[in-house]
Amino acid sequence: MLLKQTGLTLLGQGQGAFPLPEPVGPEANNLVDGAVIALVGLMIVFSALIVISLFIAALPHILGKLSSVWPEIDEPVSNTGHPDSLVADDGAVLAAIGFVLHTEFQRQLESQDSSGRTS
Amino acid sequence: MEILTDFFDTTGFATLTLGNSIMILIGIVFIFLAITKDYEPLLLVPIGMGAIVGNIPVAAGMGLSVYDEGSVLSYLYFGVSAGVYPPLIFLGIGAMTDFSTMLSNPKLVLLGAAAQIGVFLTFFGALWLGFQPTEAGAIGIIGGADGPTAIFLASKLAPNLLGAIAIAAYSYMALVPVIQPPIMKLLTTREERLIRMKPPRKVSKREKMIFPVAAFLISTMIAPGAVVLLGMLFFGNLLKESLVTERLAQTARTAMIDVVTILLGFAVGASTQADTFLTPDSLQIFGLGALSFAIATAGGVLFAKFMNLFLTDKINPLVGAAGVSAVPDSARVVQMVGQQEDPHNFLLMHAMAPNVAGVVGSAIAAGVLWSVLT
Repeated sequence: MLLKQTGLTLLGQGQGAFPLPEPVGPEANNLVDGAVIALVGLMIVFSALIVISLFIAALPHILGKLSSVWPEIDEPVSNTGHPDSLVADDGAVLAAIGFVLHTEFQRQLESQDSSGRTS
Repeated sequence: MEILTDFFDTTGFATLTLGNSIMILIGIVFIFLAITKDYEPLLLVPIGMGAIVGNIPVAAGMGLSVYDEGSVLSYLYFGVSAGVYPPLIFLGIGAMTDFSTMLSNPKLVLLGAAAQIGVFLTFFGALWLGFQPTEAGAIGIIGGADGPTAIFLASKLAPNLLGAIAIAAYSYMALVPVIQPPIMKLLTTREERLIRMKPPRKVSKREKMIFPVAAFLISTMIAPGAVVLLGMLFFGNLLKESLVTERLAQTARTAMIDVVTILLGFAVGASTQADTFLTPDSLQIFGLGALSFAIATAGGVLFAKFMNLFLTDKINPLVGAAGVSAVPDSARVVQMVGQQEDPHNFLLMHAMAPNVAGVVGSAIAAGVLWSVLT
């Protein structure tokens, strides 16, 4: 609400809750106001993501302390993604490699068997 | 004879303008690029076809245009103009996003924040060029490199520029592999590009379940304007990570997001009619869009270098470019540029962290701009 009042006032649409110095000209005023909005907006984005990153950093410690009351029975999982996840699933990749190798070996064995019968 | 003349006057041949022809050609070019060059085909094919459909001239009073109330196209366009489609797309994106790389290295979240400098500097640049503040805000969000967010904010702040902003946003997202590498190489040294980062730690299921709810509460309490986009994003992620709603998550990231993408792309394309799209403003928007991507890339890379001044475990500055939230293209670009220096340096997993953080950051930026400018 505070920022909205500030933003509206800066853009000349508000009630003047925060009085501003006299503008030099309308376009110059807009640019100055825009620079302030840009700076404040970037600070808000940074603030939100800083708080989120601090929470993420603290989360393992919080869960560690809670583990005595709420034990985690599942084993920690690293990158086990879902089939349509945007991050590759290492297990699926290894399985795919194994399947290809197995198929190739089978094919080579069969070709050796067939060449042995014809010779 | 008079009947034939009257009929001819209702055909497209009688009322086709040069602008319509240009827009139809642009739609064909989009389809061509999507099919032959694989440039964001899931978006450019619907947009291209929509542009062709929307620029067929119809007789006045037939009520067929996307802007004619009661027409079929207007009903499809309602999801765009009312900002319905973008949150639904975010639901699907949340259901397919894995935040574990971000959870394993939380300091990389800040690179997603740094890349949003492209949004706010472009906002200032649009003001300097003479756009109204609401228009400048809608143009600035192109720098967030997030199509649904750009469409959402444009529908709220500057519906008259929605077509140009959407086309610019999606075009530059497709050009990320062209725009980013020169900037990344210009701003980093070879030694920095060779930095290898520590492997990410293991992330528990419980962390991945708690994160969407907690992150939503934190981000929307700070920036309530982002409640719609972030609510759907983290709701989709919760559907995925809770492991008890896999059916819903599967639907959200497959059928649902595909349906909405079709409708969104087609409706946006149909809205790019010649008289609203072929204007000097559109050219300026395209120029500002390119600038916003460049600034966002530079912002992420430079902030990573700044963080390295204080870190013992250095970040490869290339990873900062992935703060541009074109998921997962910009992360792939980081991987590609890193491997040009060292083929055994795998940066993709690290780059996904700022990549998904950038999605959150651009949604927060949109919420801030919407709150302040309306």
